[in-house]
Amino acid sequence: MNNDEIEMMAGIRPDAPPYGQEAKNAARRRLAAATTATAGRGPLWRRPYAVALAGALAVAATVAVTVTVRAPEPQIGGAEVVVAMPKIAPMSATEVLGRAARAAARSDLEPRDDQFVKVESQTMYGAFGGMGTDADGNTQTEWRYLYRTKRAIWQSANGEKDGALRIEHLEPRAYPGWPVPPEAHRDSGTEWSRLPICGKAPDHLRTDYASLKKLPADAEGMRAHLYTGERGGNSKDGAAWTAAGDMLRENYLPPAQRAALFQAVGTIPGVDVVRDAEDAAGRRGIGVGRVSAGVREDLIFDPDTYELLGERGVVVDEKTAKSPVGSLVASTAQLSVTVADSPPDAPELAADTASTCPEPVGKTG
Amino acid sequence: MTLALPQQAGVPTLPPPSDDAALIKESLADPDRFAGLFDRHADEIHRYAARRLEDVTTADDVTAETFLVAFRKRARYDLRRTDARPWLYGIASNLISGHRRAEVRRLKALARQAPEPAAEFEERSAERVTAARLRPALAAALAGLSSAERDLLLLVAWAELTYEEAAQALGIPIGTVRSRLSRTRTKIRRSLESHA
Repeated sequence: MNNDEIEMMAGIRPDAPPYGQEAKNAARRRLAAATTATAGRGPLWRRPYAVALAGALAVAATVAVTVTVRAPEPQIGGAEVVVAMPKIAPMSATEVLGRAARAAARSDLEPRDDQFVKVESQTMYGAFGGMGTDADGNTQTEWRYLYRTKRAIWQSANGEKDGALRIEHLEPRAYPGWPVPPEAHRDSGTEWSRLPICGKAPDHLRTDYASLKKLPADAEGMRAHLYTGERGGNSKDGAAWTAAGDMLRENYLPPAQRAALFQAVGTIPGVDVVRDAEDAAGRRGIGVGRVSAGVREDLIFDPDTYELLGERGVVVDEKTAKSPVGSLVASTAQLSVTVADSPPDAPELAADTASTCPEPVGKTG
Repeated sequence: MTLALPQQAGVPTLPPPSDDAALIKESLADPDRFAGLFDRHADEIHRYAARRLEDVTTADDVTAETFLVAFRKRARYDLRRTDARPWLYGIASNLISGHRRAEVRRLKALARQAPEPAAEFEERSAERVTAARLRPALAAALAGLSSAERDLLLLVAWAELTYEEAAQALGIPIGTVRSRLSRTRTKIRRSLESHA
């Protein structure tokens, strides 16, 4: 038989019915929901550190929100946390600028290129899931919960050496308005991951100390940086907001750039300021925030040094966020930022084979 | 609170903005960008899933799930590959394997389609009959393959991937593609001979 069996198989290829518009729209909506509210479940260090994101629905920022303070409702596995939404009192530009100009240089770090920036933090973010189908094609029930961790991250000061991440899982909490799903308890104990460096990112996307300290130290220059390059997203403003958070979170930004960033981030359309925002450690600072998918997301700054204290997410639109207004759905605190000579020598790190750079596949037979 | 991947994989050079790798890279910082990948490739992935599975609703689910899985795994995408289709086909293949019953129903349906009426039984030889007339036998042969063999064969025969692309899709070396296809051909040939 000389006939090629592969061609014969191609000959019986069945016709494919067209992709129904309704099914296609539904699939796209599910994907959009996942990108807007990511519940990453892969190797741990790649799990999204946070869940909300910029460039999502452009919900108009609310000027003032009146909120009924609800008593915490105990639920299985943790209590709902409901906070009062402080009134948003936009600071005048001059006030903001004046404050930033006074930003004191406090305990400045100057890590050498061969050293590491170590950041310890406590986090609480939403985990979302069950919007997909299982292997048998059954639609799963949507679930949410708030996962909580203590984290320590070591990142190379010049972005050239592999870093490390330690995550200690804390007791999860209910996402306000939602029962605690069984998935909430699948992570426990302490986990280590290596953070490999896989090639260099383009300059404008780098967030290592060595590249941050070269950024402009004035508000205008910093603002231009936030809008530099193709950063993706539905809106340039959303992308600029994301870029600002990425420079601050689990990172060390030198004082000059820090003050410049604080001023610049306040000029992003849709961003406004609350005087009094509390982080996960109970520290109060200036909340600079933006509403995304019904949740006001604040970066909380130390009022004197403009260091990032933490982040906070509070529901402002019940319908969009599917959770009562005033619910605290994210809360973090950066507890310490220090310099280390190297990541720790944990045996778990040596054994971590999951965190590797992608391999090229199939060069030759 | 944004999606932070503090250690996101860098890229040596910036690919042209229109290619898949660029889009996936952008989606690391801005997840919403990922929907662009769906707009580009959902029809093609759906076509493949619908060919391999009997029910179109299962194909709908597989397609939707393929992009959700891809989204979750995007940080591991090899950004040197400008075309994401092999990657998406690989994910879809895995998901299709999870729908064994729908796949078996498809193969049975293929086998049930009557061969075209043919008078010249005496001339019946593999060289002479068309693939269409061999349909039931081919469907039976397909059912007799291992799922790894079937995945590879159908990526090549039905999705029309090159050997290189199929290798990427299944995460196997191209040498393995060649040897596995060769073994698969032999199996099909034997199966056809036993049906003849």
